[in-house]
Amino acid sequence: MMGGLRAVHSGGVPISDDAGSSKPLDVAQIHELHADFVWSSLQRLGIHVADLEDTMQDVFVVVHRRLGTFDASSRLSTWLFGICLRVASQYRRKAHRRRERSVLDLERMAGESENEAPDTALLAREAEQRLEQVLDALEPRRRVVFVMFEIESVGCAEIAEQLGLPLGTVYSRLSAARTDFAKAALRLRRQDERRRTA
Amino acid sequence: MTEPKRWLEGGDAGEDALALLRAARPPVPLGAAARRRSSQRVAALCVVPVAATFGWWPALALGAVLGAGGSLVVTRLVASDPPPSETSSARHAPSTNSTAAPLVEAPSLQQQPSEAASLPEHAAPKPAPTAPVAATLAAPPVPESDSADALQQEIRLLEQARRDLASSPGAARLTLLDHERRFPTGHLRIERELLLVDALVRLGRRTEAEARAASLERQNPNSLYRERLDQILGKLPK
Repeated sequence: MMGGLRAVHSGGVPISDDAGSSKPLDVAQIHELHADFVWSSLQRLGIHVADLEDTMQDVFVVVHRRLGTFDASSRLSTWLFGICLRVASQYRRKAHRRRERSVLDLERMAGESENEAPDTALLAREAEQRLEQVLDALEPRRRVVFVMFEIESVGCAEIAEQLGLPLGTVYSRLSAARTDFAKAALRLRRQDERRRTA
Repeated sequence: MTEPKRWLEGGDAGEDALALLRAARPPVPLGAAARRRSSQRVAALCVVPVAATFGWWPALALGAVLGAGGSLVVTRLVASDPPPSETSSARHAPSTNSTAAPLVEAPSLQQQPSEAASLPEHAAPKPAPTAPVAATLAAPPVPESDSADALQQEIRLLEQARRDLASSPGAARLTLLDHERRFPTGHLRIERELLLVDALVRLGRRTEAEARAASLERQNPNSLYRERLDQILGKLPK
């Protein structure tokens, strides 16, 4: 047991806290240790900031349900990341909703700046949405490595450590993600050009 | 193998990719308030037996039949006992033990507490539904042909939410809010509210859940949903 807290989950399975010690953790303790990691992972997987809290709760609902099936020989953060991937995948099914909201946001912002020159905030928002569109084209595991390296400036060794991956896997995912990102960026530019000439 | 150079630091990238990357904003950290709210919700999970998170949703059997007058009549069949299995057919099959109640137009449904109350402190408020619920409940029914199609869409959304409810109450909530936005006066708005109350309880948003439940009870003071609401809110054993 840890810190006098009782493992309330059936089994109270011994779980490594990623510091090497093997202690039975419950979902509250896992939250305490890994909330930042889950929060960051969900963002890297493209969860809209406004939906992060609820999506994070979804992750911990799954953690609570599945804790008894966790293989204690695995790293907890790797297992959590797998759950984040699945929950984010469910969230993506609601992507149409996000797009509608984004359109609403743009319309609202455009309305606010009516009769004025295009607003800097509006342009920045549009640029962010284009980036999001391209990132959405990446395979999620590659996307996470790409975002950590290119946007968050996390080193490859640190990425490997956080995600529980061999360093070579991080390099290969980054390389594949770069290729996919460049292709998607090119496709987006060609779409823009076609739209302008239509 | 050496670490590659980041694109924005002079790595080998095309101008299209660089222009997009320059728009990136740093990630939003988990703030203290959001962390506290999340901790509270997770702590609430700890007092729920794991089996309960697999719990059945009482069969929400939706029967849509055309009445003699040609108008669409929707009956709601809510089982009072758990179904014997979670099979799809069991979920959809009308239950002989169920109580059918005709759809009754509710006089009003009060506006719910703001969703923004539980957003991260840095998050922008979510847009309000396209039409206030209270203002639209009395809207005239849509034409029959549209109704049949709309009902299918409503059923799909609610089925999706029900499937997500146990494993992903947040996703279920999004689907239900989508239903609320698209069908504010839909045939299945009461089922939507029941599911929303359930999703909010599972998300630890008890105050919002109770507000929704109170509003639903005000509309239907003697409805057969009351018992189910009490079960969801923990006032009655499940």
